[in-house]
Amino acid sequence: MKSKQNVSFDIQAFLDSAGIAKKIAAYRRGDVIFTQGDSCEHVMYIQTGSVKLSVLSKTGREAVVAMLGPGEFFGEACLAGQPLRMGSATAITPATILLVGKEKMIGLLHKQHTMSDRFISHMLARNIRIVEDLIDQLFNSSEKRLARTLLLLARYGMQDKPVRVVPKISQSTLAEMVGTTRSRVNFFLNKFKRLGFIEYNAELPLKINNSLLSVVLRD
Amino acid sequence: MAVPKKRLFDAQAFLNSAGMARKAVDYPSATGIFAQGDPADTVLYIQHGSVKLSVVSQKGKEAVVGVLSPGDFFGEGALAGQPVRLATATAMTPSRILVIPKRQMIRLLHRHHALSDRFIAHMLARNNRLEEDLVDHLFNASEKRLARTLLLLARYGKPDGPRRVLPKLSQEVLAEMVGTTRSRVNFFMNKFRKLGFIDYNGGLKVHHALLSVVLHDAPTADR
Repeated sequence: MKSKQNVSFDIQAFLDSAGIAKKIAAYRRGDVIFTQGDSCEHVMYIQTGSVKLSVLSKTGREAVVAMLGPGEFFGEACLAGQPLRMGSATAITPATILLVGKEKMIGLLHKQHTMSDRFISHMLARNIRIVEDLIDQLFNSSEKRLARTLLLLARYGMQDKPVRVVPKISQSTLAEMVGTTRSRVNFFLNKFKRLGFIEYNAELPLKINNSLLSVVLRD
Repeated sequence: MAVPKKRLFDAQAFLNSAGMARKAVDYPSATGIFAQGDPADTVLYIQHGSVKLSVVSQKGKEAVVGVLSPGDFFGEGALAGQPVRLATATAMTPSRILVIPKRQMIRLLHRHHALSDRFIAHMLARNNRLEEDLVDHLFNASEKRLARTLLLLARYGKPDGPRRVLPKLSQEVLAEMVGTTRSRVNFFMNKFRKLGFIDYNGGLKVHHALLSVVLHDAPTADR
């Protein structure tokens, strides 16, 4: 009993192109994609580039909740009926983003199981990563959290090889990712540098050495 | 022989019963459902009761990463190809849990969009809550985190809430949920009680006034 309506929906082609009820937008480094409080109308998919998701507290402090790359969705909370964006999304490199209308996305998730598979895998992967971030907060000191953040930015533990060079990122952003102050980040970066774990100089991109793993692994 | 007509798949009926290749298991309060490191080959669904998800560090410190209620799934990491459980699941009250083999769950998610809708809704809600917990850590001091945890346990902000009396919960478990020590929890609980935000007579009761701790936005120095 094969349904004929599913004449191989090509999910990759769909996600890589624009069309009805979806459009592609190009953002430059530092451009805001949406802001906390905006209305939720689209689910976004990163075709190229990287995106930072952050939340602002009432007192104006910022926390970074995720750094996402190509192939990842964001803004999916509108599918859960959230009327407004609960955080902001910013391009941290030049980025092309596919915007899929909320209703269209719901329809696709119903009709195309390649889409629902893909989306469920994304949600599961996000879930695993957020739980790990939360565990990191519950267990670890800010020094260890900073080391872990740097290693993950350098893609340690991913299938492809570590890049060693971390994309240009400010100490304030690192502080917002780790949940500490900029001055603590500065202090630990200098310590890591002194111990030879990183190569760091304010003007140049940061380089990670394997030995930084020791900070995370020692208990 | 009945003609196989395309019938509507009833996700709720499926989840509320047992059947072929899925079974419902009863767990008394405080029994383990699975442990960190167990092989991950099933997805679980709470028919009734409540389940705590926790993780143990290399040092033996425990952290609670979720308290789930009826209608929630757990163990879904199996679908992402995780070979072993990354957390331990424990029944907090007598619970009935539907156990669905991973392969069957994948097949069902393909075939029945009532179930995949339901599952996606669960994942969205779960990730949202986790992200809020993470933001809470990034922004707030342990006192505020404890107040927020108590309010959420009392289901403030939920359509069916708030319930005023909380299920029995030790200060240790609260400390593991908040990410602080038992003695800090004890200190803040006494403070909340003195201020009339909570009381202990006949179970823990959470009053509206506790909201002031969360809503009052003082500069947070300690973490």
